[in-house]
Amino acid sequence: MRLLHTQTVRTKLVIIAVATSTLILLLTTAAFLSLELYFGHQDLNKKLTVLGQVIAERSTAAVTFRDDRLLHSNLASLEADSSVVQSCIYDEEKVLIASHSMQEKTLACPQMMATLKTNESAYIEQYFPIKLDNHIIGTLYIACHDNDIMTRFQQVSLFAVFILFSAIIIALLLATRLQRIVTSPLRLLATTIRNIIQRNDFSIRANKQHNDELGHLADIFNELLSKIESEHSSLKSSEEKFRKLTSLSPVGIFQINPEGEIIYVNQRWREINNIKHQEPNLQAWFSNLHPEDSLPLNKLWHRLVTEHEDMASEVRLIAKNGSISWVYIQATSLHSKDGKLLGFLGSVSDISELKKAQIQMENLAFYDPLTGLANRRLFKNRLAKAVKSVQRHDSSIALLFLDLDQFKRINDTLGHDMGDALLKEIARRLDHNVRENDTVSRIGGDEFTILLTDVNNTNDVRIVAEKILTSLSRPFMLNGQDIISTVSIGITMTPEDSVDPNTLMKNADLAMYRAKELGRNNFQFFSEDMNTAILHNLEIEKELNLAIKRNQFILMYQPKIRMSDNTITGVETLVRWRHPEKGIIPPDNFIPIAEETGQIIKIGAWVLEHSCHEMGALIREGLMPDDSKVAVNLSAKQFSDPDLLQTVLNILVQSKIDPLNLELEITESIIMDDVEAAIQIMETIKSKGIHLAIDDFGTGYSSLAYLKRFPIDVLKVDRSFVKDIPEDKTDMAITSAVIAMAHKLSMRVVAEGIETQEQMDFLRENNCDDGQGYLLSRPLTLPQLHHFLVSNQKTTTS
Amino acid sequence: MRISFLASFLLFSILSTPSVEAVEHPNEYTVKAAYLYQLSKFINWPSVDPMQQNPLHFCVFDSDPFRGALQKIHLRKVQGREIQIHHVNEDIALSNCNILFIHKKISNNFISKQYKILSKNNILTIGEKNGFAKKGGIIGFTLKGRKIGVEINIQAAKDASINVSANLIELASKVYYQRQS
Repeated sequence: MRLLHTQTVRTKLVIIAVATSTLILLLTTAAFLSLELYFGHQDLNKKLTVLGQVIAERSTAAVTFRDDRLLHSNLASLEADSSVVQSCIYDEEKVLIASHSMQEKTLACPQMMATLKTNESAYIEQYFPIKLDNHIIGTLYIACHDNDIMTRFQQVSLFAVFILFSAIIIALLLATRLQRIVTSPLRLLATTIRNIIQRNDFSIRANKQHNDELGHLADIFNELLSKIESEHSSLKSSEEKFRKLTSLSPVGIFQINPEGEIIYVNQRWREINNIKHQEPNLQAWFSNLHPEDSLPLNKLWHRLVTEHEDMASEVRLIAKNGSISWVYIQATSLHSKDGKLLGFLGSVSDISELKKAQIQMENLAFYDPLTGLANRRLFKNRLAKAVKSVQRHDSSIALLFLDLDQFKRINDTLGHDMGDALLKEIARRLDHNVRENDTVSRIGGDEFTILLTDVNNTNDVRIVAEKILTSLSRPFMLNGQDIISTVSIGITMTPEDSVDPNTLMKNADLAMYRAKELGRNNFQFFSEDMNTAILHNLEIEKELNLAIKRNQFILMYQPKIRMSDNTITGVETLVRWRHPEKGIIPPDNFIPIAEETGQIIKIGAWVLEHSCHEMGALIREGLMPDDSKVAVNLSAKQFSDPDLLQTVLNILVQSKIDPLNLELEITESIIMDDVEAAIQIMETIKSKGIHLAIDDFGTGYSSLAYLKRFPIDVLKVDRSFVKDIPEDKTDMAITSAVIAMAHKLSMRVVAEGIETQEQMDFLRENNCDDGQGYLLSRPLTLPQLHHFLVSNQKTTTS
Repeated sequence: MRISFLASFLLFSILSTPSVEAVEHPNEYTVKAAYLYQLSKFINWPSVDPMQQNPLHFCVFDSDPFRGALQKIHLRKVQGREIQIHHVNEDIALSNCNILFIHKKISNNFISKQYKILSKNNILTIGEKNGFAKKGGIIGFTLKGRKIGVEINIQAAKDASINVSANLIELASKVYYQRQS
């Protein structure tokens, strides 16, 4: 059977047909032969029966009367039949009474005494009862051979074999012919299929030759072909669409078969990967990867190939010329409906521009665009990290807070471009003076911070701070100008001072302010007393709130005297705080705090109101001349308060004094913070007829160019110049020059802090307009002023 | 030897329990009695209604040579008919007889004289005298040596409308086809 399976259909058909017909013929022949044999024997038996019955019938008398001659003649008559071999007659007692052998070979009569059976089986035997008058009077035995039957059987068999062979040959011929009917359409079909495969042409159709099952098969096959053709064409068109799409796609597309070979890439893929002409190959492609990206991508790729896990990764590709481009690779596995792996499909996008923008964004987020230093955010991050690291590693870090001295003035005088250039150069120098793992950052306009890590002791930090101060003390050459810009540095250290980043920042800031207070261009380490000062300030702030509510302020008036005739021209109002426990507190101890907290606005308004009110009363009493002036100091906060003018005008109306009687004193530094804005505010005030005075002139950095633009009526020479008269000739020269210059600019000049007659004489000689100081009068309370004015009137009138 | 064998065979077939004596000394008429009994089996009488179980009248004419041997077959059945032995003579009507045994003392003229009556009444005539069959008897016994044989006159049988079995005819030593007067 297995042998049959390996045969062609043709051979199978022939074998089956021949085998079947042979089998059927064999069976039929065997049946016929068996029947032949059977019927032959049956016929013989019948014949024998007839013969036996005749002889038996004929022998009744012979048996009855024992006529041997007749018996023998009866038996001998059986010779007429050639097949009879032996005949015997037995009497009633089954005793042989006559027998006859027909052939030479005599067969013995069976022993009747025992049984009527013979051992001879080669013969056909029969016994016939010899009956007379319903009584069995004897038995006839006849045996005959079946030679005739056998001979006939042999002849028939021979003929049957002949027929069998003829039939087999005919079956063979027919089967050969028949198989052609079946196999030739099949062959034709196979040839058609082969043609379709070879030419890849699904328009070929099979020929239908007959209208039978095979013809039907050809029809079905053609139907299938039509279906395949239509699906093939739709597939082709869809593939064409896909190719068109991919060729137009701004994304590189690649397809990989399960064996890992690239079987398709679009033009964009070639452009991105710079593989223009050679066949794309996975190894070659991956060999272009940046070494740092190679391993992670290979891991992802391995996962994709083995576990069919989708992958996406940003990697760098190195071109032959060494340029690096960023690409985004995505890939997924493709599976058929039954889950068989078909391959992998992926895309590649050039994200270099995106990456560049991203890096720029990151820089913007974390770096100062002007100086390229870390910005506040990055600095805070690094500080937080450094602090954590310090707590783990038991080392120290130092935080330096730098603030440029007088940067605002440089910016204002030289312009923002120069200011920016200066900042850039400072940044460069700062960066140059620290180690690579230290962080320099610009956290505000002119504020820088430096984070020094791995610091052993304060001395290390001191060295760095000194290096920075030295480095910055060299003049900056900007736009052909030499500029000196110093810096004040506050330093705090962890873990000694604090381990909290915000506290550290505050500490450094405090230390920096201390450095400023100590004359700038130096560095100060944070110490606990700075915090104490802060706490003190906080306490004062609270008490000031109470003071404002409870009117704990008092005003003192220091008279100003005209040098030429010693007459009083006005007073400067000075505020004092009469603390219920601490007694009288001088302004220096609370005004800066009030300035910082904004309480100065209220305090200032109170001072203005009371000054004007009391001045109005004095003028109306005639104790002060009509054109006398009360001078009130304005702090920086007050000056920049947009409600200032309205407040002043309201007070003037309420106190019923002329604006001419009010003089507002502004320090030089307030004006210089923002010159243009200050000029505008001053002009507005001036337009209302209120006088303006520059206080502490000479201590700041006023440019003479600006000075002429200031709508100033009075210039007050700082007491530091007056103090050293007549010892310091330079101060005397400056003072006389300032007076001369002020007069040229049509300003009156007031000298403060006159304590000696020499000073008085010198100023008088130099035509200083008014004087103020202990020599002339100490600051006086209102009653004292009353008394002073009255006695003064007496003096002048007397 | 042969006769004794045949006699003993015949006797055996007649007697269910044969006596030792009879077997040892079979007398001629004992054998003939048995022979007669067997003979009757080969004879067919005309118009015999098989349903009517008529007895088979076996008549012995005149003198009886059997000396009681016939008693052995008296009331035995042949072809379903009971054998009844009768002794008859000329005075007694023969017409009732089916078989008439005529022993050798009686002349064959008796047959010639009585032929018509015998034929008319379908009587099977059996005789011992030589030429009995030739003279018109249907069956005549012959004795050749010690072997009993039969002669059959077919014409006589035909005349008497008696059918003698071909088997018996075949056995006959002589068969006559006509009656000689």
